[in-house]
Formats: sequence, structure tokens, C-alpha cells
Amino acid sequence: MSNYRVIFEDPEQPEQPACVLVPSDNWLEEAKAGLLPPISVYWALQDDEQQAIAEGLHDTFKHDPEKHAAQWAAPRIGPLTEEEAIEYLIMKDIPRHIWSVEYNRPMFKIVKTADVPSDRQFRNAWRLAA
Amino acid sequence: MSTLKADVVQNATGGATTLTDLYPARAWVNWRQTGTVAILSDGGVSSITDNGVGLATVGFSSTKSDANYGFNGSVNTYYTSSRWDVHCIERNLTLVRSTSSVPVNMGFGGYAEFDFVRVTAVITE
Repeated sequence: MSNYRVIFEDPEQPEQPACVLVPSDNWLEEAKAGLLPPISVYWALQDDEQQAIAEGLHDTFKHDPEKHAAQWAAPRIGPLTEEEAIEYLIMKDIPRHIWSVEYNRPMFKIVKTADVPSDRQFRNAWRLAA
Repeated sequence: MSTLKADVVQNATGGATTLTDLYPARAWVNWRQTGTVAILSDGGVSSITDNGVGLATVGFSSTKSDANYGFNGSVNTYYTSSRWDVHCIERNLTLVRSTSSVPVNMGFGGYAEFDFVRVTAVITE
């Protein structure tokens, strides 16, 4: 099991509780083995889909076959350490406005798994400590 | 009859192979939404995100060609109630079903959101 979790908040939804990203061990193994494409491949696909959503065309949207195939056809980026893989995963699976924009406080934090509370009694009140 | 032995089968670009009249799961994940949330086992999934009580997002290892994939979810529970629900969220204020992830809402019929000891999501295309 990964040693890390990523806690983040969405500045556009301040009333929502903090979220906790849990990496897949299988995916981490792929990252460590150097099997991932450049992150720009995923961003290009995300951009196209966001545009379709903005235009109200999401129900009939289909990715461009060439861009879609780039996930497997693009040159691999080489082996990553677990820490580098977590940074890659942040850029892949956490909405871009959360980690790419500078706010007046951090909106995400990489933490040790053991540091995430296991008591979920007040889960919907969790906030990211400064 | 012939026997085909191979460790990996891919399509021409390295992606998922299309099998005539067979539609296997494209991604699946089994996770614990109680205590310290953890993935128990998975295939084709890069992460899950714990979004709060009864709410999670499953991130896919590879982006799907469109967002019209099939979703199937289930939970295990220690409780006697047989009324539970697992939904794929189409869209709410913060989450949207997309080609790269699917938001999942789980709870008892009624509808009370709840964290279950084991949640399973399966994606088919």
C-alpha cells in the first residue's frame, strides 16, 4: 500500500469538505516501471472534454482517435520514484485549477497515509490545515 | 483447436483489445470507505478520491473514448438493512461523470449517505 495520500480542497467549492486522493498500487507499479505517457497526453484529452461540456455536447462527445491512442502510442517517460508518481497523479486526477493556480493558502498537501485520520465521525467537516 | 499463449494482448496502438461479441470490464475497483480509506484491489484504476461521507471518485488509468460507459456498483455491509444504493453521479455542483473518472454516491435507501466497509465499482464499454 502506498505510503502517501493527497489531501486537497476545491477553492471553487469552499463549503465542501477536504478530499483525500488514494493512489492505486497497481498504477504506482506501472509508474515505477516507466510505463506512463507524458502528462500532456491526459491534459489534451481533458481539454477537449471540458470544451465539449462547456458547449453542452458532452452526451455525444467522443475523443479524437489519434489523441486517445496517444495514451499508449506516445513515448514513455521512464521510471518514476513513488514521490514523482504521486506528483504525476496529482496532475492527472486532481482538477487542474486546484494545483495550477496560486491561492493565499495551500489547496493540496501530500501526507503520509498514517497521518490521515481514521475516525470519520466528523468526516464532512474535514479541512486542510495550513 | 489451437492454444494461444501470451502475457499481454493489446490493440495496434497498445490500448485495450476489442473482442468480438465480448465486453469485459474496462476498469474495476474494490475499496474500503471506512477508517483509513484504501483500495483493496483494482484493475485499470489510477486512484480513488474520498470526497466525504458516502461519496468517492474513481480515476481511470486510461481515459475512455467517451463518457457513455456502463457503470455498476455494489457495497457490502454488516447491517441488516437490505436497502442500499450505489449511484454513478452524472453531475452535481462539484463532480461530473467524465472519460477520466466517475463520481460514486453510496448510502441506504431513503436516502442516507453512508461509508461502507467494501464498495465495488465496475466500468464496461
